[in-house]
Amino acid sequence: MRVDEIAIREFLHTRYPRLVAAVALVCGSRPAAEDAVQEALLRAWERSEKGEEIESLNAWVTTVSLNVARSGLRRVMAERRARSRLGRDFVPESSGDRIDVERALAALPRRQRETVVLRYYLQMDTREVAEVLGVHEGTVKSTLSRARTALAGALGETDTETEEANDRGTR
Amino acid sequence: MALDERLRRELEGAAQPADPSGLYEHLIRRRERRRIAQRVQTGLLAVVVLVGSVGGFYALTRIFRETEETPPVASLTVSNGLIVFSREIPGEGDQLFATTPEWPDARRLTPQGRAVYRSPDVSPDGRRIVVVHEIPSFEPGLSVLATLLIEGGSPTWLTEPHVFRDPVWSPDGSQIAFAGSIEDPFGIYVLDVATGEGQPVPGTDEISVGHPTWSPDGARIAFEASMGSDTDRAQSWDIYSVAVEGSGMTNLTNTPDVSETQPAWSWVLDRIAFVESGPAEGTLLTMSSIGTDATTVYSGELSPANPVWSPDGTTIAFEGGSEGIVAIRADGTGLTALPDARGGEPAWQPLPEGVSLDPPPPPTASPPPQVGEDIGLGLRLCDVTSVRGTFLSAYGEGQSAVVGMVIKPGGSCPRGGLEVEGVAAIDATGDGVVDFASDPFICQGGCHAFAAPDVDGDGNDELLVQNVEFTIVGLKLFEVVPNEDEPALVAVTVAPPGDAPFGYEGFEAGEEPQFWIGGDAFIGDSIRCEATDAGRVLISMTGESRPHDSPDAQWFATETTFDLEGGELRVLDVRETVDDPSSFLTTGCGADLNLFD
Repeated sequence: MRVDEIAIREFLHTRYPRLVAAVALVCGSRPAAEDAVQEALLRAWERSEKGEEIESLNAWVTTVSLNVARSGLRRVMAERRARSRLGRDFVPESSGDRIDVERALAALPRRQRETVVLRYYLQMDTREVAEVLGVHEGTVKSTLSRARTALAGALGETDTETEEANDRGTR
Repeated sequence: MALDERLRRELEGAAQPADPSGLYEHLIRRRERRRIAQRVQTGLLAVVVLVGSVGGFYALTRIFRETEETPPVASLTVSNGLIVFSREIPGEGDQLFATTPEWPDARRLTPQGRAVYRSPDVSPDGRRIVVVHEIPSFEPGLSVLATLLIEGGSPTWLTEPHVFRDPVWSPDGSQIAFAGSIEDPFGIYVLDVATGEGQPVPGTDEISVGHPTWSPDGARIAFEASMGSDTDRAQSWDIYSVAVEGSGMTNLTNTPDVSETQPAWSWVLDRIAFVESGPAEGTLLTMSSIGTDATTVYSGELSPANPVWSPDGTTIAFEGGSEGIVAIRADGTGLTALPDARGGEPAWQPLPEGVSLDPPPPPTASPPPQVGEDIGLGLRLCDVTSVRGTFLSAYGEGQSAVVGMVIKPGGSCPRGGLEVEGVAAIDATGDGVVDFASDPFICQGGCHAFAAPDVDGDGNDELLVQNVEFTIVGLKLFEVVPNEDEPALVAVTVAPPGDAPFGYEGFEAGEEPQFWIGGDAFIGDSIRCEATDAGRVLISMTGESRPHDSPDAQWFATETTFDLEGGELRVLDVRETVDDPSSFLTTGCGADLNLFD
């Protein structure tokens, strides 16, 4: 597809709000998430102008956003710690009033957190999650399984039935 | 299913969708900042003239047939120096070559690979070349200034990635002037070679500018400039001169109907060669340093561009259409084509005593990418790249690691996709057929052999594969494990407990670590290998200057130190810094690592 003004505006109004929210859930920083998604969108635009074919703008921007946020995550943490050590004002973006699921999500390893957010918040199927994260579909299923087990324990739920188990028979 | 529903519901509640109002306009502004790089290009009539010289070859043929009795230019000898120029190589981009009229073939100076080298200028002592250097991971339009030895080899970065055009050495070799933008706006800058600090030349940031050239005493800089719109191709360009500190800005040509561009100041004659372009074809002229006494050197069908003086001031070389670089005496006689000099952007300085370019530097790595190559794995690969190393010392010398992208049955070579399957393999015996391979792994945007550093100092090299090629370059580390039956090439994993004890996440136990290199004005990532008391270690560094675009910005960086043993990377230390991240420019593991060799 061609990434032009129409495609960009459509993406901004349809995909951007939720994608920023999703990346923020993964990296724990709303400004970093906005920066990552904007950066990814800009790259897609420039690449398309240079003649590169981008099959799915949504998948492309999601992947690149997570790449940007992934390397940026450690920077965010470094900044927080450094500011704290230097005694500068720093207000964490999430307060102690986090709801359970957010706190449980934050405790997951990064890959599990990405997988959960893509699957349950952006409502991608396992094939789409695999494509975005650059892993095999089987890896997504096993990662989701581990994440669900951890989340079930943290949320006081019983993980008796998974959609991924059903997926195996239908996809 | 209750858990699934609860996760959906509560994530929906926890997430805070963003407001896209006004964001398109914000993206436009952000994009425009990057397009600064194209400002000079879009305005340069000379570029249009050069690119448009479709008939150049035939014209040149006619010209040289008519002038074949003309004796060769007497001053074009090795003793009068070496001409360095750029030439586009398919699949690699612009590369540097050197030639003299006495050499039958030009010699390549830059290593094979996908890095680009443009706009060379040779230092006054003839020992170093400054170039505009790009690697694929840079954002479009960004580059670094780098130097190479005149004998060729790998580049040394002088700067971080910014916008750079037309670098030129000062007469004493201590400074480099260039057109570009190390901060907004675009203008003429002067870089101190010793410190790497760049300062704008005042007054040059208010107009479209390019092609700086130094006066013989290093006090002034001449350059091309236009007061018109960046995008107005009909605008007129003139040649200006200004003192380095910004005083005495003077229009040397001042012709509203034609454009004068690409000045080159002779340090021997104190005259300026330049190209004049009007409605008709281009003309090569010279004038005095104050703009008087304009004299035509060449006017014809060669569409001259990018003139450069010989060191003794007797001759001018220039781009002459499709035939490449030609030379002519400053009095307009003796037009001569240089042998094997297809290319452009010539630079000309004496070859210093004691420097020998014979034999030419050997290529340091990969053959050009080939499509559909079978390297002995029973499947076809494309974009095959390789890097030499000693991956298992028992096999002796001549080993190489090979990386390619897998072509699915009935498929074509994948290009820039989100999910590409790559494979790495080792040719241990040096016979061109691989002996053992890795499991397939996922690459995003590309998949290339990157480097073969000995990360752990055990005498065997490891393999770094570039497996992400989107925003910054992602690297994956492989190691050869000498099993009893057959060696194996395995992706290195993070040993328990990862970096969790240090309070971080990112290098999790059991995962194959993803390393990043590259960056821009705000972010930076690098890896490097160092010898310590505890042995050789690998250090991953990542940092960010925050807040962006603020004078109060400060770099916040994290260094994670690993040692490698038995196919696992163990986190030894995590350290936070708020220092200037100059070490981000150390983008490799060991002196043997060259980007995209």
